[in-house]
Amino acid sequence: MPTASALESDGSESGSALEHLLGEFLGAVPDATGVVVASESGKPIASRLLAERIQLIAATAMAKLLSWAGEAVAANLRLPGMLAVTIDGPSWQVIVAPTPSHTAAVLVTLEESSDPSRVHAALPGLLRAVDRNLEAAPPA
Amino acid sequence: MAGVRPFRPAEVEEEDDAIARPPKVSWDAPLQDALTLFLTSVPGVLTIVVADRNGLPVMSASREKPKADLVAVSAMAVLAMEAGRSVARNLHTTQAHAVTVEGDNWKVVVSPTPTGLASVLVMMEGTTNLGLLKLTLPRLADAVERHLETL
Repeated sequence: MPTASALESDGSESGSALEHLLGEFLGAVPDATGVVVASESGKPIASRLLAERIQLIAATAMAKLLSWAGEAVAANLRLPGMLAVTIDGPSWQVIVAPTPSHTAAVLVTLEESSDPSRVHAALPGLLRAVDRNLEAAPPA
Repeated sequence: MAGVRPFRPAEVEEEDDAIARPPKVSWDAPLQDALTLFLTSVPGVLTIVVADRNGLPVMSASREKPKADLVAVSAMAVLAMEAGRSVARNLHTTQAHAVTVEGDNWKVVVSPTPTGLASVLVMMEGTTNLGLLKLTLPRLADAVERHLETL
């Protein structure tokens, strides 16, 4: 599978372990077409995407802002515990979800024909795994 | 339906005497009516806020007395929509048309009107039929834009 490994990747163990984790997720959840992990500061840490020539750094930075704005919308409406933000396009979706510790955010891309409920069901496990992975080997 | 509270209702004076005067209808009554109709016709919708492109609230309607800071809510909702569009642009996809913020038992959908003159924020219960909402929301966005253009 061609991937846009446009990672500012450190090539560290953490990066490769995360990429392995993302590969496993895509294998287990075929409805997802791509997945990216953004650090607390919005930089990409690991990715598996079909698309090429994308602006990955800008996309993850904006995804981090989106996640923050989503939490602010919820807080100002006095709604507890934001889980995810979904961006809808005519034939695609991007799900952005913070990890439980909020040290990273995960972006998952889906095409129109996919079933987002299967991705939503599998996402909490991936988020916990990303957290564990980052705790074990924090990105440089 | 009980409990629907427009924040800025049409000013209709009570007829407390025999002289019937024509009711005074506020300039924004048609927009308020459109929001109230949507609120009552889509099950599970709790609050609707219309924000201008700067993120300032223009109008809202709610089933219950609002507890939220609507200025902050609308500003953050417009920011979320812009950030969502930017994510899409940077992933080289087509234009985003809605952003949905989700919690355990609630959802907030933000969608711009067709020309981007305003954004519509809909807060709803988590059990709400999102498909029905997504079918009806574009019509509400059209109506909001039409009403705003006449102001």
